[in-house]
Amino acid sequence: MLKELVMLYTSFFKISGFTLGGGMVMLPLMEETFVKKKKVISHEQMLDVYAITQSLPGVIAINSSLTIGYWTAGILGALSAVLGVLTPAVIIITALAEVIQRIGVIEEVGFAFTGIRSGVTAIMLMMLIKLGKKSIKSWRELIIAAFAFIAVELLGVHPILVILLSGVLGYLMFSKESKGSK
Amino acid sequence: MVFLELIWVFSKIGAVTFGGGYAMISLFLKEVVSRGWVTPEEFANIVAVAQVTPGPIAMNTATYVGKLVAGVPGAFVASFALVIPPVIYISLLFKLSNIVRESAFMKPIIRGIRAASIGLISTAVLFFGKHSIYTGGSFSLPAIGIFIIILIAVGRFKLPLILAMILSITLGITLLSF
Repeated sequence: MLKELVMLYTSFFKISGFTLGGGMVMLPLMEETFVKKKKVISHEQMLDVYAITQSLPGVIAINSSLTIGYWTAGILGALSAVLGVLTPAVIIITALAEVIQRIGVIEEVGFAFTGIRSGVTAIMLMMLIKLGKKSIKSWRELIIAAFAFIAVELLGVHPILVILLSGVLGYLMFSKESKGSK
Repeated sequence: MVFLELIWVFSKIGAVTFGGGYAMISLFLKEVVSRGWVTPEEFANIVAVAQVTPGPIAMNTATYVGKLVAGVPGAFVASFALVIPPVIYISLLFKLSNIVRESAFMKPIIRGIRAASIGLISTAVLFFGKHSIYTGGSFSLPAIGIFIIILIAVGRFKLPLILAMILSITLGITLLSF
């Protein structure tokens, strides 16, 4: 039991501590580690992990680590797994925040940040196009996306309210169709 | 008390967003900047750092904000607050088994929220644009240059993200120093 908890913690520590690009990038690594190498969950369970993380709100890496941890070693397993994801992020970011706070007065640091912000704008634009192609399948999705953009950007509506409203809109627009296609 | 406020803000963010870290940025922005915890420019820096360091983007952002607001304990509290809602959802999910995942009731709702998250991500991209290529009411030529170079390097030549960031930093320091 203890062995499993340690395995969960260290595996998730490695996955979280060495992956750039967020939770989406971590999912294939989890499959590689827990289905193929450690063989603690089955391929079907991994498919469920994908389904669960896609249909529950929240941080992808947290949802998936909780689920895999729970299936491997119960509640304590879920806890070890999520702590494994959390630890490297907290260590790296707090250290980095400390350094940036100290050297932030240097002019070159400001230039470096302007560079990063410009680069990140480009990367996010590409990400937006990629995700947009996947999610916007018809003009109805486009309307909801446009509604969300206008409400938040121009009207200053709180994003939480927009998310709730678009859930309602989604239900009104798509419920007939999914009954047939399920 | 600041720790309770951190828990409230970040568990709220963890509770409602679909579609990963990018969709959460607009919500982070609303909650964190309007509380005066960080300035919009600082926030842009934080999210940029969160994307180019390992780990989940939302968690990195939460940790960083927590650190700025209440030191190392704040960093722990903020990142842990993100975990609270998923723990509740997932334990409910295992109790109710297939109700959430398979139900015809949830599917159209999720589809609607997914579509909205594209709109939310657009606001985040716009926010970044406003804090890099178009700042203080005018266009910044060096920033536009970096934007285009990274667009081509990553989009066309598949440059890995970590190298793209090193390139952005180098270009930022060299172009803006002159």
